[in-house]
Amino acid sequence: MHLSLLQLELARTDEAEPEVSQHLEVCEECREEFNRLKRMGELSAALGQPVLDVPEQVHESIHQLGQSAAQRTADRRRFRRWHKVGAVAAILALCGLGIWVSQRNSPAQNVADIDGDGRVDIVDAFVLAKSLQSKSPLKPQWDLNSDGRIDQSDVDIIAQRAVMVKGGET
Amino acid sequence: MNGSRLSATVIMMFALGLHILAEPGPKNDEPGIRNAESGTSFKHIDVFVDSFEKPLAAYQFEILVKEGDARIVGVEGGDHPAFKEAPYYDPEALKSGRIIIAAFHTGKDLPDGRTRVARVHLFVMSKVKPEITVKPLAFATGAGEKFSANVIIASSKGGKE
Repeated sequence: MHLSLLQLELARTDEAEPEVSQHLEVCEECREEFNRLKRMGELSAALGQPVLDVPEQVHESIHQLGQSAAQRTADRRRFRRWHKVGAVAAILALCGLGIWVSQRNSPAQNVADIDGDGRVDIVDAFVLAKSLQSKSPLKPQWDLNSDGRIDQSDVDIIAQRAVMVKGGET
Repeated sequence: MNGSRLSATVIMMFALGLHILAEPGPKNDEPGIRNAESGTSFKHIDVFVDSFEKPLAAYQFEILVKEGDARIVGVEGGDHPAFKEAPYYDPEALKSGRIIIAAFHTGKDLPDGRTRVARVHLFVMSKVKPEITVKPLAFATGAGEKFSANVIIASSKGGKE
């Protein structure tokens, strides 16, 4: 695809995008057109008046068109850059949220929180031990080792979790 | 619990064996065992919980060796029958300078006021006196009611750290 007259004119006045210059380097046809336009410009400057009798309004319109095209391109680039940054930030935020939710709602952690205070500590083990001792009603999910019964081994699991230094509750 | 106690005993015996091998000369300097040349020594700290007027049924605290090159090598129970047995702790923590210690008792005979609940053995590997801090974590009465308590540590010489 070749350059439009507007792009060539902008290139002549050094207002074109870098892509236009790159295109001129590789496209002989456009380069010839550009050189012709450039010569006309030089001739016009030498004569002190335009080669073609173009009304001032046309020059004004071309200039405005060029400016708005350049503005649109800059806006599009800015949008694309922020769009990428936003997408990366959104992915990271979603990953973080996912990890936080999975850790917070980890079933093993929640069932060990016998007294329901939001943390697993020795008091949970104590409350379960007391419940076993007093034969209070027990919840099936307190069978932490899934051996089909709730007993001292489940109490020990909670206590060991409470004192775990790596990955423990504290 | 048995696993924790066994691991602690094995590590203590291993550390003691190393110490004996390292020092051929006479060694005795109670209350800790000290190697005068290398500056290594065994010490213990006693940990007290002050539950004020509340009956103490469960406790949990963290001990951290902040300064000095020291390793926790063993944990024993305390004075009161309710907490005489070795408490719960993570055997992995014995390799480090940070440990969480906890225990509970479901019986009716519970201590109140200031009670020694545990003794922590340390292997001090330099002449620098270790700085040990304690962080109270959880305490409960026999009814399972949580409350705040003070945790106090005293060195093997009997003075407060």
